[in-house]
Amino acid sequence: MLAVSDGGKPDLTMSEFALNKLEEVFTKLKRSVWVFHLNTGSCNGCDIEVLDVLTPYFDVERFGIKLVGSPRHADLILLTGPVTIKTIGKVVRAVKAMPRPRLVLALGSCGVGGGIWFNTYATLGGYPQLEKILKDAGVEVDRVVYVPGCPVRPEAIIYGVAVLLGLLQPKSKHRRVSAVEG
Amino acid sequence: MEALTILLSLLFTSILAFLPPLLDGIERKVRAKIQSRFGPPTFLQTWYDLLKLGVKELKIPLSGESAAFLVMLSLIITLISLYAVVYVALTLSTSIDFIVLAMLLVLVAASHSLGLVASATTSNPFALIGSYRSILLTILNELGLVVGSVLSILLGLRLVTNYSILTLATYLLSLAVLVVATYVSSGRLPFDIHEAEPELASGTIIEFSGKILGFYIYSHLLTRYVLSLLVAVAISTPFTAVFSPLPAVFPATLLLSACVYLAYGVVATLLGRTRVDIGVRTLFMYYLLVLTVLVIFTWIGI
Ligand code: SF4
Repeated sequence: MLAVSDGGKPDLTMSEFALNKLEEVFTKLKRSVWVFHLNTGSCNGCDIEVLDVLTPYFDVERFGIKLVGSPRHADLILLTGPVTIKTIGKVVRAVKAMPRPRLVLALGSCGVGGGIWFNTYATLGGYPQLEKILKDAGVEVDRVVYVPGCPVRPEAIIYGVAVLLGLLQPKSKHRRVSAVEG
Repeated sequence: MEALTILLSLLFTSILAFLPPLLDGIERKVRAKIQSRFGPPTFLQTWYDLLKLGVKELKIPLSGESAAFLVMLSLIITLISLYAVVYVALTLSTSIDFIVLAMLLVLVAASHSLGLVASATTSNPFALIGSYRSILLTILNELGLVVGSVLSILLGLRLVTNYSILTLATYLLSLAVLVVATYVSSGRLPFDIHEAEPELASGTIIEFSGKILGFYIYSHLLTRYVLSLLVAVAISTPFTAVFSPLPAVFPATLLLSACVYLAYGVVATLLGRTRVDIGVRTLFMYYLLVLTVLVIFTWIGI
C-alpha cells in the first residue's frame, strides 16, 4: 500500500459534524453548491471541459453552482485525471481540507478508472483506487458520482452534479471490472 | 426625542441587517444580465449560500483558533457601524453628530482590520500575502474615506444656508472622493485583491470554512451596505435640510443606498478585466490630484 503523507498539521474540527443531519445538509446543498476543481494529473482535456461548464454559455450559476478557489469553501470536488503518484499526497490533503459533507465528482475516463493509464507505474488508476487511500487516511467522502467520457462532456458534468444532489436519476448503471494483464 | 431616535435607529438597523445578502443576489442577477447570462436562479441565492455555510462542518487549521472569535467580533462591529450610519441618516435634518460620524469611520476600519487579523492568524501564506496587500490599500484609502465623508456631509449642510458655486464645486469634488473611497473600501474589482479570485487561491479567506466563512461573507456584505448608505447620506444631505426631515428623506436615502450598492456592482462588472496591480497606483494618483484641488478650494475661502 502507498504511504500517504499528510504533509501538514492536523485540522482542528471546532464542532463535531452531526452525521444524522446529513440529509438536512443535502437539502440545503440542492440550492447552493460550491465546487473546487482538482486536477490530479490529467491531460487537460477534461479540465478544458470543466472550464467550459463555468463559462457564460453553460452558466452553471443558474443552478446555484459556483467555482471557489479553496477546498475549505467547497462542497464538491471536480476531480479530473488518473491520480498520478506524485499528486497523491496533495490530493488527499485537498479532499481532507473540505468540510463535511464531502462530495466528489470523478470526471472523465481517467477519473472514473484511470482510462488508458489504469495500471501504469506512475498512476494510481482514478478515483476508485484513491478512495481506498482516503479510507486508510481516515478521510470520509459522503457521496461520489462517476461521469465517464474522454473528455467528459459539459452537459454530462452538469447532469452528474444533479445526480449527486439527488435531483435526477443516473442514466446508466455500472459494473466495475478488473483488467487481466499479460 | 433622543430616546425615540435611538429606538428608531435600532429598529431600522435590525431590519436593514437582512438587506445586504438580498442586494447581493440582485447584483448577481444584474451582473449576469450584463454578461448575457441567466445568473442565479433567484434573488435569494446569496441567502441560500449563507444558510448552507451555516450547516457545513466548521474546520480551521491549528493555530487559527482565534479566527472564529475575531470574525465574530468583526461582525458585531460591522453591525454597530450599521447602527451608527442609520443614526446619522436619521438625525441629519436637525444637526450633524460628528462624534457618531467619526465613530462610524473608526468602526468600518476596525471591522476591516479585524477580518484581516483573523485571516493572518490562520498562518496560510496566501492569507498573509492577501492581508499585506489589503493593509496597504486600507491605509491608502482611509484618508479618502475620512476626507470624503466629513467634507461632503459638512458642505452638503453648508449648501443650504450659504450657497455659492465654489461651495457646490467643493461639495461635488468631496462627494467624488467619497464615492471612490467607498468603492475601494467595499472590495470590488479591481480592488478585491485581498480576496482575489481562484488564481490567487482566495486570498485572505482561504482557510475559512463553514459558519466562519458564512459570518465573514455576511460581515463583508454588511460593510458594503454601510458604505453605500454613507454615500446615500452624503448625497441627500443638501436635500435633508430643505425638505421635511424623517417622513420623506429617510426612505429616499434608503432607496438611494440600494441604488448606490447596485451601481457599484455594475461598475465592478464593467471593470472586470482591469489589471489588479494597477489599482493601487491609479488610486494614489487620483487621491493626489483630487485632494490637491480640494486643499486649493479650501485655501481660497470655503
Ligand atoms: S479522460 Fe481523456 S480527456 Fe480526460 S484527462 Fe483522461 S485522457 Fe484527458
